[in-house]
Amino acid sequence: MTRREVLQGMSAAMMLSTASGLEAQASGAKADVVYELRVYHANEGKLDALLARFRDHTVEIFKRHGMKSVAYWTPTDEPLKGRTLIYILEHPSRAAATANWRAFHDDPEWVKVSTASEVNGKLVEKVDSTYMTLTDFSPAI
Amino acid sequence: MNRRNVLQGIGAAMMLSATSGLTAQGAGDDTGVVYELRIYHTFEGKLEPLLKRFREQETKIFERLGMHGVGYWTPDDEPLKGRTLVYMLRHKSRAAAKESWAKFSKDPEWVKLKAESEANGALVEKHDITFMTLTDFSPKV
Repeated sequence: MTRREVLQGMSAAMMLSTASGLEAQASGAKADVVYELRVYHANEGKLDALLARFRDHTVEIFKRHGMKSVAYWTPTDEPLKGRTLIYILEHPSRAAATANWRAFHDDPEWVKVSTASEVNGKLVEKVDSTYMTLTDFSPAI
Repeated sequence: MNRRNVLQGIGAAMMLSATSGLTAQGAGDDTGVVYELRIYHTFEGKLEPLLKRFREQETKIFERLGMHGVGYWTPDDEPLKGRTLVYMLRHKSRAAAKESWAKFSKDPEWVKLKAESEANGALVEKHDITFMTLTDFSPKV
């Protein structure tokens, strides 16, 4: 990418942010952006297989469908340690989140990977999902 | 089980030992770093004063004591909406987290702020704490 292309991209981004900035109320928040906190409770002995699926496939499939990964963590203490994955996604809007998840579930790679990873049983017992908005005093993410 | 119970369950992993961080499997080059997910369930009508306390002073006290605010959010949906603050701190290590919180609770600005903000009653009914480390495939945050 040349400097000219970079600068063109920047000015386009500035115009977009000017337009959306009119609706933004919070310094840390981008207009309609939503964050999704997801907590996966793995079945006994399945956390490593779940982490491998995310590492090798799921994260890339998210990216393909406009789901931005903020970060992925594992708890360090009992009772969640060794059986839990916690992560946060950023979606352009709540409507986009719904559309993104639909596209994700229909993605041929996901269909193949999820089936292959669960030949010996399901990896995840339960998923908790909480949609959230950045507060006006939050750092941008 | 409603979402509130689920989130309370997430927070069941309380900090029990300052040394447990030594055995945590960290990601990348900064193996000591830990993240702390905190979920505050407020008393009826107390979310706004809680947000005000964070906005005006509490987050600044965190930063002064070496606790880095990654993000501060409020849930969008019932039953957590309007009564919950979710935030995440990054600490240099588990031992540093323990030390920072010990300093925080004795910090003169905090002691004064807490007393003033709770003149009409406590703001937070219950808080859930989960210490975590980044997975090896996570973006940095």
